[in-house]
Amino acid sequence: MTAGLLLELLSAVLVVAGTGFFTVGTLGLVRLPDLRTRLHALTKADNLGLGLVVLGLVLQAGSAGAAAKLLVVWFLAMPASAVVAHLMSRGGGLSAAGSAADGPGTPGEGGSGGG
Amino acid sequence: MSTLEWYLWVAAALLGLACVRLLLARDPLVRLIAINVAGSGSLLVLVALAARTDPPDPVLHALVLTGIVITVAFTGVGLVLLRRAEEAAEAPGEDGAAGNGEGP
Amino acid sequence: MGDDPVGLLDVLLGLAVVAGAATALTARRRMGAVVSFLVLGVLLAVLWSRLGAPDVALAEAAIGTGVTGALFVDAVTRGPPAARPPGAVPGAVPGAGARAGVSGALAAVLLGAGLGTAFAGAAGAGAAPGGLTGQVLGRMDVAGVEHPVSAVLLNFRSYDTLLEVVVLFVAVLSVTATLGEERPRHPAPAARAATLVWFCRVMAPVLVLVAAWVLFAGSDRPGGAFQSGAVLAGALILMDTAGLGPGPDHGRLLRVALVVGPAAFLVVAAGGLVAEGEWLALDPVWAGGLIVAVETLLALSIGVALTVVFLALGRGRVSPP
Repeated sequence: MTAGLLLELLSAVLVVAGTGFFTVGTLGLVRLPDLRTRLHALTKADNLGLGLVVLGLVLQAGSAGAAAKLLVVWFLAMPASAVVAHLMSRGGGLSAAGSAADGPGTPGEGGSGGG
Repeated sequence: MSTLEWYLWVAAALLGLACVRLLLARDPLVRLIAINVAGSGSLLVLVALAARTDPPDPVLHALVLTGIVITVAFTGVGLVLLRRAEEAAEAPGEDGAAGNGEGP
Repeated sequence: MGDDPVGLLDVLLGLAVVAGAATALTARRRMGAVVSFLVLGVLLAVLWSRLGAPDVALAEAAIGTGVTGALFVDAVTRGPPAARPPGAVPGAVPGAGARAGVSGALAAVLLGAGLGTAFAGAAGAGAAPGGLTGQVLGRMDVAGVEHPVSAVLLNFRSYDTLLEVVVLFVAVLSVTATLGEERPRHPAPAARAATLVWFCRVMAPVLVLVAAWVLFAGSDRPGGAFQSGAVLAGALILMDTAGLGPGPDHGRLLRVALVVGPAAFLVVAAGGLVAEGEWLALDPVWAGGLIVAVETLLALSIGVALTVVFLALGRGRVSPP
């Protein structure tokens, strides 16, 4: 196995693993009962998934500059999703009119909009 | 079926869905979304046709960029008008109903 | 690419886009429709990348999903409460539900089939599939920039771009005309979220830097004034959400920023008239520098214009007096 082939294989494994984490996160979004548990699943699984995908692509990047830009994407996405999750769980992200967005087709709120 | 044909059919599907929804929906917000989707369908036709050459046709891409910016412009105007109309409907006896103020 | 038989990736991508559009258009609640619309935007950006259009993908992600998404979400979450009665089905079709739904679906299928046959027939019967690519690439030496799409936007077809900027300008005028007398801004949250303020302080300069990079990258790779303006608008909208954004005392600054872009474009256009005898003609010697200058001011104006539309959406009462 040449180094090039090994690198491609490793990159493919990382990207597939990343999309696997995204799938698990989406499964959590659909199946978990309330806002905070869903946020928990989404931010953790999606950030890890994004990181794995980015690492896989870095291995295939043509230059150091392109690799650096890919890493910057990951490093910008992490604080963004953390801040959004924090604000949503505080209830400050949605209007005071109290229509916290339900997930697709779930029945109750389960106190997710509370303070 | 070639790639080009497939994407032209996808665009036709988007346009058909969106136009019908535009005519039949009651909520103005859904209609605005329908206009956006119909716009995306027509842009897909342009981009699919541009992809026939290699490198892709830059004139069609420039047209699509123009289309996207114009779409956001009129969507913004539509949403502001929608908000004003809803505010005016909620407080009908008030002065300063939609568009009726000292203009800038 | 146009003549290869369609591959699995294209089939899945096309089906995903249609499914996303169908979900956005037939959602029961406004919020569901808007969220599906955002997902559709991401899928479209992937689609444009697949079709070899990175500029369009950038613009779709930044303008079509970013700014339009912010406008829609703001419209849905901050509207007057009376507009969203709890049991309402806003997308409901008037008249007998099932019958209207069936006739609507039938109409959609017929329309889609008709359009599809027309498109496929026209593409197959085809004029030479070269389009205008050859002509554009043949003139790139006088274009002033190295990226063909930027050359078309700002040199060969700059008339279209000028009119597009004017359309954006007219949109800004329309929304500010509806503001009427001074209304109180939507009230800032009582405890301004410290996390959001910190995040904004860190991210806004980063976003401005990214906007500048995208702007200057437009000379030789995908990028340009419109995508850059959208990133700038994103930075300003973020600042506004954190409570640090442009306020009433920044009115004059905003107005100046709004006007410089179209004004510079018009000056260059008139300059072409004076120097070359033709409206919007660019002397190849000056073309590069003029394009960069006009693009920079345009990006600023576009960013401010999109932000003003967003701000105009938010001004107004949240709760009845």
